[in-house]
Amino acid sequence: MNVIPRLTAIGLALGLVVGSLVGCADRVDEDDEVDIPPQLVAAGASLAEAERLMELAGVAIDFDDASQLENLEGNLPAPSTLADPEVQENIEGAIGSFNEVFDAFGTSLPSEELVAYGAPAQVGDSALSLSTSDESMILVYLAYLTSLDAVSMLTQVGGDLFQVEFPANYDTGEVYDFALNLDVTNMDPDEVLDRFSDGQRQAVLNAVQILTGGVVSAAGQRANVDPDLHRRSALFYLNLAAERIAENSAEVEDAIAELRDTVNEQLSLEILRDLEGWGFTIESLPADLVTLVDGE
Amino acid sequence: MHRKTSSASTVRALLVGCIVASALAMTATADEPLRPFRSMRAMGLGNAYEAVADDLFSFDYNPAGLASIDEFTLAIVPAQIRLSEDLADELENLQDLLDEINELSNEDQATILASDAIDDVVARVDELRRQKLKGSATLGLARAAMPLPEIAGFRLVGAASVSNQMVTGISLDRAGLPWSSVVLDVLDDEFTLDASLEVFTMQFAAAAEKDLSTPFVERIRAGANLRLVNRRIKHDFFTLTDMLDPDKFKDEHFDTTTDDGDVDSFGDVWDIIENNTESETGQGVDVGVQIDHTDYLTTALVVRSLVSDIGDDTFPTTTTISAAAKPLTFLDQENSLVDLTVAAGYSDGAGDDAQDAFLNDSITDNIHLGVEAILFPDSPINVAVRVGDNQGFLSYSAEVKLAFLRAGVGWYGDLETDYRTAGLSLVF
Repeated sequence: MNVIPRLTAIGLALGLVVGSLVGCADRVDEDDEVDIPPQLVAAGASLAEAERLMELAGVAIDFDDASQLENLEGNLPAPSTLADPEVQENIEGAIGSFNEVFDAFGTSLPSEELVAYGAPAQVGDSALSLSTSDESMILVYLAYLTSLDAVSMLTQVGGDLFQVEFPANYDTGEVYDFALNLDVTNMDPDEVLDRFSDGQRQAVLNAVQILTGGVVSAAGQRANVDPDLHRRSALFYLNLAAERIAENSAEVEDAIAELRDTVNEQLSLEILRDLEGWGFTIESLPADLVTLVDGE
Repeated sequence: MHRKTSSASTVRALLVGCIVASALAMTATADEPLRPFRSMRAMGLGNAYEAVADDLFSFDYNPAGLASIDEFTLAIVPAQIRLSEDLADELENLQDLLDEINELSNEDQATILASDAIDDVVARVDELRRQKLKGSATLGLARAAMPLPEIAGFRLVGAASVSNQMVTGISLDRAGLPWSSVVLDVLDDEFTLDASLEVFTMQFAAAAEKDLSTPFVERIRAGANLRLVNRRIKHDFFTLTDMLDPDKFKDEHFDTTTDDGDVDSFGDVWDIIENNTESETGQGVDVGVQIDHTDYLTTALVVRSLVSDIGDDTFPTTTTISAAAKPLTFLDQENSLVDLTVAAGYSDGAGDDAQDAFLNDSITDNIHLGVEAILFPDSPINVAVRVGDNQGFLSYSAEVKLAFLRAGVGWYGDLETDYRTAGLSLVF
């Protein structure tokens, strides 16, 4: 009469033992399935490629290593390293990969308005789908890599005429020093320009354009940078990064703005000022630089 | 010089962000569906409690179990807490980190950046993304049941309960581009903050028992429970980047204004709760049946949240079949030293504790198993030890009974994470 209840009880006991043995399931299986948007997959692959190429070029920055952040200048690649075309190739590859991240998200950057020395520029709006922090960091990286690319262009053709080297100290915030091996004190600008070969002029024109966004010519010779690779200037990327970061933290914006001003004043402005004395013609500049030049 | 100051401030802002995140982990809460009060006994049994239920904690599992109460009974739970293992670990280590940061705050930037504390913060944030920071607390629960006059052979019991419950949860989910650097990767990861404060949940239940004395059914119990929930909830999402500016973050996510501008009374705290949460009321009805087939085998069928609503939503319905057996009784080995109970249950719907947020695609996701051993079961002083398998995850509890006082500790695992539990109750 009691067979069914007894069997049920035994079954329960056995079930408990077996259940305990097979217990402790894997929680990984329990998480909701996550659909990763295809543009994030594509952007992630491009980002990984950019990071790989930066590592390969020896220009990667480890943001997880606080000691490296404290001594950024000490971790910058030496000009002699940047003179290696293979390093430049990797740097430009990384720039291209970061561009692809923007492409994957359909991110359109504001246009880089140029003015002919004096008139203020108007900056357009942008439609973004990347997070502010992601976009900011890509902009910082693009500014950094574009600057290195400019240095790389110059170091490869300087020859006996000029070279890029580390400064004697970093007190001014300047991280690379452009040195012309000429005493130009009593030289006519055109005379100085004549000392530059076509290749050297081209490197200077290209470097200045990708660094500052300014359009400079040399006796009719103009920059010929790849507009798909160098979509904006290093200075523009840095300014935009500061703008984006400012949306979240005024303090971080201050740090970026300080770096931007250093690049503006110690690097871009100084080069532009020198170029005028060397016979190069400044045709147009971004509004920020125009203000600085006018303020001199 | 100025540059160094700005950078140091930035580092401070990042550290503050991380500290705020840790602090939030302690204060945040969650608003998910039905949050039944789970007694130490039920949790220890892996929630295989529907057929076992024979006390005032039957309210939350099977109201039919209330019909087993044959005298006026009052239960008070002054405190019961449940902290996820991750949260407990965070709390244990938080003070060390705060001390470390406090020491660093007096150092210059170079020392700060060279310090291992920065690496600790980075590692901690990285770890945060894999953690489940959850907690719940009941600080005040009172329940009473009273046998009513028998009607037509049905023994009736009426019961009422009032309780509060705070459920907390914060998680950090990966978002944005997959940077290889933890620092860069975590900046736009999304914190999800869920908060639920059941201020005053009331339950009213009625249960009946009838002896049938048929070959397969000795007696049957049935019960229904009406639950009236009044809770305040907060759902919020933010990123670590949002926290870089603590003042702006506070303005946008936490309104700390009070009537008099200070926070020095319960009224002020309540002002802040009201400012930051939305009120939600709802009700639900549970029904259940228990059948004693013999003196050693009981089965049960329960439908929780048969009828329900909360705010604009409903509590998901959960249907459970369960069985419990007394092996020693079955073997004619009953004794005054130890009493054994084994129990099993199968739940469908998984509406409790927001478990329906998970895939529930495995048979073990629906299974509850438990075994309980009570030493000196008939003595006013005894010890109960329980081990269970809740949806494939280990749970256990040990509870000491000293007359009307019960104190217990335990471990509870569910589909989401593992919890440490502790509770105190008084049953008169």
